[in-house]
Amino acid sequence: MEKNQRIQKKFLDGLSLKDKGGRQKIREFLIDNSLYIFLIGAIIAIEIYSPKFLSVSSIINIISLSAANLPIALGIAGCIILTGTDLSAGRIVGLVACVSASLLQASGYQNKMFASLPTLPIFLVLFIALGLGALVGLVNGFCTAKFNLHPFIVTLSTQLIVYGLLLMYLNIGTNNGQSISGLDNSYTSFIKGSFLKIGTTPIPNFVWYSIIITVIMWFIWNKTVFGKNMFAVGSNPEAANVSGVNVSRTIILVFMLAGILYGVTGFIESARIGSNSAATGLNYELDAIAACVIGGVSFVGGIGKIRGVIIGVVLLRIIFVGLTFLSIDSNMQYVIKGLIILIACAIDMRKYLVRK
Amino acid sequence: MSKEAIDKGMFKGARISIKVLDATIISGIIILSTIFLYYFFR
Repeated sequence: MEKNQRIQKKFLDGLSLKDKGGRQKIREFLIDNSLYIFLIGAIIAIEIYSPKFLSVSSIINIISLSAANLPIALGIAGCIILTGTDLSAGRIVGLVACVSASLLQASGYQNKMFASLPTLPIFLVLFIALGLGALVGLVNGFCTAKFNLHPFIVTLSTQLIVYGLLLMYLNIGTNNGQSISGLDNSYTSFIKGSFLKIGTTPIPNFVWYSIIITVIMWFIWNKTVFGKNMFAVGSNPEAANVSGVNVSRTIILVFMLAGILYGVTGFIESARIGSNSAATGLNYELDAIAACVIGGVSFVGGIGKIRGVIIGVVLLRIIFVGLTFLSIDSNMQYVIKGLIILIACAIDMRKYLVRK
Repeated sequence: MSKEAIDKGMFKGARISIKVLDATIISGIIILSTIFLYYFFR
């Protein structure tokens, strides 16, 4: 009889432990995915509030906005994988956008910045844009790798330098700091033109460029030695060094690649916006960092996936378009943005501690 | 908290941090939801 009771007690204890384990797992799941649950819940609620939110034209608008921001997010993701960040991204985008716009203004435009300069070939300007981005990326990477400085402080400095250069550039000739517009038709149609429509809504060309860049980045991250080295340096630079990885070279190349991607973003943004000023690209890096963190690119280094970055960029963009549908004022949108970044970082750190 | 500090950190310290992080995450989600619901039902 006593034996039976003991067995029964043991069985019940086992059951309660099992229940506790199950509850614990559910709790962990809910906390780890709390941001995704909130964002998806918010998207469903906004769709109920305003059924136009997920209409074809709105979805294409969201895809276009996401595509415009995807290259910068992919660049910053590389820097975050190295346990760093890049605060200069937005300003590089601004500089590249203004330079591209000034070189590709229509020849008959009245306020042309370089009146005597003919409209240059698009691919030459694209090459200049990528080179400009790569140059600033090289400075960022060189200072980070060779002086052993934290990327935060290096990119803060370059951000200021680039902004200063941009303001000086906008004052060249008779421009007097005005925004640069009147872009050549060939340039705007190269970026904003479309060869495919869904219903009556055209899909702009830059969406396809963004997809091509994403595929290239996926290949670089996952199928090349450089990509493997990047993750190795991000997770443990000492171990990577001992294993024969050239840490300095990898850091410099990651920042240069990021710079090239900012160059691409600047080139696209220039034509997409149409009128470029010193404010172009302002705070773009914050959105990109938020998207990366939401997408699971970890600040502790060595963790991140391309699909995570894409999910982060799209989710963030859906939410911001949705906030406009809910008529939430722009000041409150900053608060929401900040909270999303804070929660995403806390979840990231929590996952890291649990793994430990 | 630096990566090295976490790596070298004591187990007990790490557990406390998880509780603080949980509180941060949950309160953040509550604030976000409150803001969202306020605008939704306005």
